Amino acid sequence: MTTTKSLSVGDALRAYLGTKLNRPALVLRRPPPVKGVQWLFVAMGTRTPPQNHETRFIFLDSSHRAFRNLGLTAPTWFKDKKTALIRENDDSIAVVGECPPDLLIEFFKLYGIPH
Amino acid sequence: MYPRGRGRLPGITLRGAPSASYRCTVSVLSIASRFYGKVASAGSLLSEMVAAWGGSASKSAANLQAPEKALAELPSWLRAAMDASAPLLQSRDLGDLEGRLAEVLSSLRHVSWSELLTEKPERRSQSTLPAIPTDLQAQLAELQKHFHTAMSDESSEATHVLGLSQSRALWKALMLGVWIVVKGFLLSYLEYKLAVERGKQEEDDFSKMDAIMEFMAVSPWSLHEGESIPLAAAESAIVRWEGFAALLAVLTALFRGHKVEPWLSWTLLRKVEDAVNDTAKFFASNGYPPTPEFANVARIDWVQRWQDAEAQYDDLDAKLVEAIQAGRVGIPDDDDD
Repeated sequence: MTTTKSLSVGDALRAYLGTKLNRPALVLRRPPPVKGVQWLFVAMGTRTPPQNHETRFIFLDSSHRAFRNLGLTAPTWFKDKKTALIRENDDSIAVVGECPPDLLIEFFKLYGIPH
Repeated sequence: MYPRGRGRLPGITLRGAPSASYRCTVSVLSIASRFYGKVASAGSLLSEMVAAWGGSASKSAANLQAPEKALAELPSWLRAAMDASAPLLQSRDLGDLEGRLAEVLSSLRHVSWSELLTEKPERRSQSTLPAIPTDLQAQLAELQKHFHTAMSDESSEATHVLGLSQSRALWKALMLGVWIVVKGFLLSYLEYKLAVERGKQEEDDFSKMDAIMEFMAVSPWSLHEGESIPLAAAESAIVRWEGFAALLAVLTALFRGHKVEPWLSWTLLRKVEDAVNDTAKFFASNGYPPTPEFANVARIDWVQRWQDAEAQYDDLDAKLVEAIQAGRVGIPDDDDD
């Protein structure tokens, strides 16, 4: 799916990320465009529980108030090391929701923005 | 140049500041008015509301007789905001209230605030300060009188709708809110003016007053809009806006004369109190405690905090741009599903 509008911080996405289609993601930052191309700094979600060394994460399941806001369909972990830069005009991106303000602050803290 | 000496407003002692309380009041409200565009009419409206629901049975009765007419006379932004917040009054329990609150905040984001708010506090210059209404001091005095009457009136509309304890808590929170604005904005404005006049600060420098105004202009969606703000400001904005939504719901109940269940009225009032106290602590952290109980709040250099946050966002942007230019944009392959 091609997005026609510009994406915003806090937009919940599905996109091709880390060789997985429809991976949940959350826009954390829109850096200045580079050579006319807008990139997005995103947090990637995963259904794989954290390993021992992965101690910092946000876990969202259906009991969480924001589960539906982020368009999630299964329990999802957002781990602090799982971030990516993707083009805003990437064809695989679909906007599926928006992160509530309080949870977005938790994401910023997890990813150290601002550090 | 302001006259030197000690000026005094009710509850406020100023050092090395204007001696004329009128001028002090006008100054602070001119600052407030840059945020709240029509703070004078808003203050007048608040005064009328307190009078109607707190201290004046005849006005209260008039509202009850024609609530729709009374609602129609409100500014459109307030009507829209009250409509957006009204679902809070249908809450079944605490969990339901929290869910509704999140939805109400989302709705309030789309209310047109153009009548009330200026777009953004500008890095100011004296020439851009708006004209100041001449009866603001009288409005403040009138408002305070109504607050005191309201808090002691057991037969008021607010007491009827909310209960006596809740009604008193409401007026107390609102009165503290007014003092936060008066003392916080006034003192930060005077400090700024004195610093400029004494040559200790350039007029266009980012001052403590600017940091306060930037802080107060943050909304729960400022991060969504890509603003480079300290997270503490975003957290505080959520508390303030939840309190604002709760206050709007209470005002809706008062306008309609609907009794609110005690658990709900208390919970809504707690939200209002949380918002007012959070704002009071912020001003206290700047060195402007609105009342003595906030005097021991730890000081925070918000100018530095704000500048640090902006620098850190810039640093992040630079790193991201560098990664993009270096081609380090490959999506990391991993074993996760």
